[in-house]
Amino acid sequence: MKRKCKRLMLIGLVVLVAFGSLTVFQALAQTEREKTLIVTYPFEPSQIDPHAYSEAEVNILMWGVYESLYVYGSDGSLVPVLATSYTVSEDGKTYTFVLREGVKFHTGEDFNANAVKWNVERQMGLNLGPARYVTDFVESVEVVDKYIIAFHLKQPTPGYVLLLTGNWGLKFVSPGAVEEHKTADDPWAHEWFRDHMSGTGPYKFISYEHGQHIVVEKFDDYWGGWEGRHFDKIIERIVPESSTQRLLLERGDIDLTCMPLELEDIKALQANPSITVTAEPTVLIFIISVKTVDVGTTGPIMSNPKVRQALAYAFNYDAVIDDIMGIKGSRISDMLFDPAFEGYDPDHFVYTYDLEKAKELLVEAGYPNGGFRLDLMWLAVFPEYPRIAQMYQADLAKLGITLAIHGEPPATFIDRIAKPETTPDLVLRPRAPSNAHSFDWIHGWTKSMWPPTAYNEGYYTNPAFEVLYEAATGEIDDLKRAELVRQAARIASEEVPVIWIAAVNDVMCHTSALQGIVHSPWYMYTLWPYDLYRE
Amino acid sequence: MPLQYVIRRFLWMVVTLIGVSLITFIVTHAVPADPIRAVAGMNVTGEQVEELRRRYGLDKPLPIQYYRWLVGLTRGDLGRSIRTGQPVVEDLLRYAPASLELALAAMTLVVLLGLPMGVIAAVNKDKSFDHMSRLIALSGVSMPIFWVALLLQMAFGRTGLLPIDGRIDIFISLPPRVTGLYTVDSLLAGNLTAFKSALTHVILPAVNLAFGSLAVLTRIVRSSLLDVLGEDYVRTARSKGLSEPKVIFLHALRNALIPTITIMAMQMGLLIGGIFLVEIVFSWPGLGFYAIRSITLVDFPAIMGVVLLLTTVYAVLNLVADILYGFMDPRISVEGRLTK
Repeated sequence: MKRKCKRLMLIGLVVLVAFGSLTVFQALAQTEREKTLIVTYPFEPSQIDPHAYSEAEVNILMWGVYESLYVYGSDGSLVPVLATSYTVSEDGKTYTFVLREGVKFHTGEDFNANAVKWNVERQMGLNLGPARYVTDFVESVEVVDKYIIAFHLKQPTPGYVLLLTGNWGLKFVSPGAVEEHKTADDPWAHEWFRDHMSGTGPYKFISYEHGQHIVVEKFDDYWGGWEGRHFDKIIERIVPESSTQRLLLERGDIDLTCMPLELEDIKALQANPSITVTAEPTVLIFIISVKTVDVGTTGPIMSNPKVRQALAYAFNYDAVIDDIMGIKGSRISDMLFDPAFEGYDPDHFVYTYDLEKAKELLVEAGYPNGGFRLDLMWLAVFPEYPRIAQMYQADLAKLGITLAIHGEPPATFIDRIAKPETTPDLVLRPRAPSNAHSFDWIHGWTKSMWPPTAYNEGYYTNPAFEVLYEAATGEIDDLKRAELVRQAARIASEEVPVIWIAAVNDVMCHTSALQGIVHSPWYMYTLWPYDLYRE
Repeated sequence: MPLQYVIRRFLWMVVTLIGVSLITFIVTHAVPADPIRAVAGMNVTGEQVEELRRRYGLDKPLPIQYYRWLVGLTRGDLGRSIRTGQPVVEDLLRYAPASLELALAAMTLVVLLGLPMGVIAAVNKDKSFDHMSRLIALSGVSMPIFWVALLLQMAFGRTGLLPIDGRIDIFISLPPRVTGLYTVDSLLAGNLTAFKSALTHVILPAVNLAFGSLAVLTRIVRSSLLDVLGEDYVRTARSKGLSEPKVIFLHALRNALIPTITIMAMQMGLLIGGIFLVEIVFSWPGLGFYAIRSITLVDFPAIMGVVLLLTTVYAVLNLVADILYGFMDPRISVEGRLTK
């Protein structure tokens, strides 16, 4: 009996200790949880080397670990980060930056002009991702002083700073980390940086469990300091399913979903008082590229601007926002749709849904009853596209135009638009400018950007447009350059190489306790993690 | 079981794998896709794309590409993933343990629950337990696996009783990697906190994955046992005065399990297929998770690697099932005919 009692007491003690330690663990975990920001993305990035990265799946961590010379503010203005000022030479070929002092890399060395030069060389050496903003423009980089660096450009490039800014702008990796992890075959340590990070930002890399999560924690020597409220740690979790992300948010297991969820899940979260849903326009837009050449047609259809204008008037823009995209979309105007663009015209012409006007234009074009067939293909990455295509199909049918519709996944999409013979007449897809540089954006519709080189899949070209683009690239005077770009945009508006549908809103669902949210349309699927805190 | 039979089956397995790899290669390359473009994104030039294509050998003619892949296979090199840039073998070693852990957990549930349920249903034929098991079995084979996943998440997500995604609590340090199975590695490391977390995380996806196979096993065991319980030797055992449990477990069940082995080998194949959907819903970072992203981007080397691995697993399981079948029933010859 005594032995039995002792045994029972021992078992009880073990259970008590186990329970107690679990409770202590839970309490510690709770404290750690409060100081940790947990976000979700639905996809895993291919790699996270900032000099090769051109995706969106780790944007919030990219901007937590790395920094650029400038960033765009909410209003599109340039905000100094690692540079405090810059000057431009009279010929527009040299940009001299004064760097911020007192900045350290996560590996401990100073950020200075030599580090900037070295990073430009690394970007050019790797020649991956967004390297073209350096390789296409920079002749050489000169260390003028310890904290002054000069970029000598191949040709005058007004607004070059804008090209270095933006989601995929030039960021700075730690030379010390590269030195430590480089090999004879990989002198830039690209393999190591594929799944590791080391920069100057407020957060330093801790770990990356593939398929699961990436962890960063605060860098104590960050130049911005840690006064005020900030998170100590950020964890990005990879959660593919929208419904799972919603459940995790409702349970409080995560704080923020960085990429838009399914509309049904967003609506459910909007009804939850402990969840806040914010929707801010971004520069990611939905467009329909309109083919401007005739291949295999019986007459001038797509090459006729009046037909293309009729197609623009036949599109129901408001219905797309109201009935299909809902909170996920905002109306846009034309090529220069964001106020940050040079040449932005608040009074620019905007196409509206007007079937009568469309009919008149078709009569002028010689197709009074339509009577022809078009193909529309959408890039199968957004769930709204099939419904948009179906809606447009119904509207074109009212004009006597038969529209065949289908979707293509990314891997086959590229192949379809590689030649005019295989490119559909209309291509519904997303586009996004990399930066606020107007002529870099309108460059996308010049002849040099025809597929397979790039994405002018409407095969648009116009001599006047090309002349204006070339003139803008060399124009030093800001006002004159803005006017040149505006004229080019007006030509595009009349010629309709693109139907401008809507801007995609950054719809972020987060716990109502999350504060410090500052959004910029130029940085999709992310917030500035350093500013965030829990109320 | 003659060794020659095993060797012959193994050689046929190799031929099958080569055939599967060739079909997969042809199908993936028949799709008019450009995985380099899809992975490189929009902010790249044509020259960068062409350089990447050369780097991955995709500029070579298709027969050359397949030949190189086969040669690489003999050295254990499955090429490099276009998406991750890593050797496919490394990617598979990274993601496979999670799928293995999930599959083992699911099979454990299938066997631990399906066998007793089938036995009880057979012994209580046409009684309430039999009807209930029939209902569960019908649900298991009728309900799509992803639908069950979402129902489980909703049911447990709101109650907070079990985690609804991931492999382990994110605030727990991962155990040192030995097998890659978090439950096993945490036990080996003596980390009970990690073990408990890993175990609770695998429950829901394992239940989801096991549900369909559990239904099949229950019905197969039930019907097989009912057949055996009607045999003369069972009647003899009863007439000798053996208790009913002894009759069932010592005499009847062993023979009833013989056809079950073949069925379960096939069920493993279906279970492997189910992994793809389960892993996506439960954010389980296994082969299905890796494969789906690879398929979306038509990452040829990764797709070939996953298909080869899963086909090998399925083929080996079938071979093991055939060998076991021969051992368990001495009447069966290697030619599949009853020996005289």
